[in-house]
Amino acid sequence: MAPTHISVKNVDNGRDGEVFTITYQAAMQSGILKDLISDFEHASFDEAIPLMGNISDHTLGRIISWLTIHSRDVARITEQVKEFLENPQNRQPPTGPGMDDDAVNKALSSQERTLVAEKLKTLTPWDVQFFEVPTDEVFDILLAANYLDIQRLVDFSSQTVANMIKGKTTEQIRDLFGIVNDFTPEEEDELRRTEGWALPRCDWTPEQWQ
Amino acid sequence: MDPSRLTIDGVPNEILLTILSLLPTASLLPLAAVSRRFYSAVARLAHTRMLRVTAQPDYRLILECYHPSAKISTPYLYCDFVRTDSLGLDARSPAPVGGGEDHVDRGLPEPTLGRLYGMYSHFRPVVQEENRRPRLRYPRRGHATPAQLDTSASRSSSSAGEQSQSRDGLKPEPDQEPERPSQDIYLDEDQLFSQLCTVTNLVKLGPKPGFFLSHVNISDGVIRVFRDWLATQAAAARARRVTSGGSDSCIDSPGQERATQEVLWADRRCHVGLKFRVAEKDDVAGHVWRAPVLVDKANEPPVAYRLEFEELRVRTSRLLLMVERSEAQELNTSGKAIVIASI
Repeated sequence: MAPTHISVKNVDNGRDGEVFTITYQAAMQSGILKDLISDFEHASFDEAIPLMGNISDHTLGRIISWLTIHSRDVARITEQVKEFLENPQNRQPPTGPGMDDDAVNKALSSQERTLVAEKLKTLTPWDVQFFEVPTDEVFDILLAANYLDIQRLVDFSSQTVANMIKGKTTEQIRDLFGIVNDFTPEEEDELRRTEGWALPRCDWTPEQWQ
Repeated sequence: MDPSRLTIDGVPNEILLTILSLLPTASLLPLAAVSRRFYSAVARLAHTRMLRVTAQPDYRLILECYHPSAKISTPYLYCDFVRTDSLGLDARSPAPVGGGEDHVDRGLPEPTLGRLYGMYSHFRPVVQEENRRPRLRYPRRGHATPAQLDTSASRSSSSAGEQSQSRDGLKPEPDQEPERPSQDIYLDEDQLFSQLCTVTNLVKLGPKPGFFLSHVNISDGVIRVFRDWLATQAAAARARRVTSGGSDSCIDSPGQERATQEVLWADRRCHVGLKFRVAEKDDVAGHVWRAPVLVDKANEPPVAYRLEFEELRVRTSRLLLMVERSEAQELNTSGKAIVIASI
């Protein structure tokens, strides 16, 4: 029988970290936890599952809170979409009386899948607030989510980083991420000369493509 | 690895690619200047996008090519996708700049932004069924077909500089190679060149023909066809016909193409170009071309040529940016429609 709650703890260099407890449903969003739980189906889950991902307690705590908030998303959004599709006006393509039941169901389920997938990709206001942290913390979360195989959290953090990049100049991006310019001055000249179509100046705007 | 000191440098490549792939190409490209790692990621993403852009089923290129006087009466042509250049074909592209140690595909040269910029997509303009039919039903004077020109005795010889969009045959045989759209050029005495406005648009096809969901202009330029160029091209085409025994072999090396200036570019930056097959007009469909009675040796005689549209070339990077703009346009205007129609 599947347990109702799962405990995890950080194990870094022999040091035991804080123990976090989440619901089974929330834990199943992580590919790693899912595999661990199914591997040890008959073992007792009284002991916390040790994690070796080099994740700080602070980051793990934040990820646990994210998992808890989003644990019922799939069910909730599917329900919303089903409700939305109850109204024949929202159906795309519109289902008419001429169609047989099979075709109607097929069209509906494919539209339902697309809508659910779309909604699951969208950041909620809660997520936007969740990522209002210093840049290196966003990368902590991104890497930890990648380690724990939480695809949706990876996507959300990537989206957050992409939004940070948008509209910034080369110098601003180097500052933001602490990147060292590893082009030599000659190479930079070469870049500007031969590949000016992509990187003309720092005050680059899309309008210059005209 | 100290987790508190993490930056984008500590992020594995696949995550960097995930992050960058969320950006539209116009904001992605300038990121190449950040560092070598960014450069290689950006170039790879741009390359993939450029190869995929022509696979979009709903988007079509529309070419309008007309003499300035025939703007309203010239129909637009749809263009069928033929191929996109592969990387490294262009010998002019500079040596790779920036690192790319993790490029997996060893068979191809490293995609550099310079090489990507040199990539073109090739399209073939085709005559549209919807444009062909009304033409035959309502033949107008300016658009008389060659056969009609022959029979209309009252009609004066074509005036200089006049354009007429014409078709190769009135009733094409079903087995025939699909007819190529063409454009006729008349040069008066001493006239050195004629002009063709060349407008290329990218449209997203709507549910009905002639109904577009979005529309983005790719280029709007003027092609000049010079007397000398026409003569050289016609002679070259004749020579090719003789050597290849009538079959159309148009596999030319890029070097040869540049030497013969086969492609006429519609803009200064060479975003859009047209390749024509030139034939002297009097050996096409027996059109009566009235030779002048007296010709001064110093004067250039009036000439007539038919230009068959062989190929439309569009810079793939330009095409990609425009497709993305078109997608953005569609998102912004969803729910509204502008219908411009003559009813």
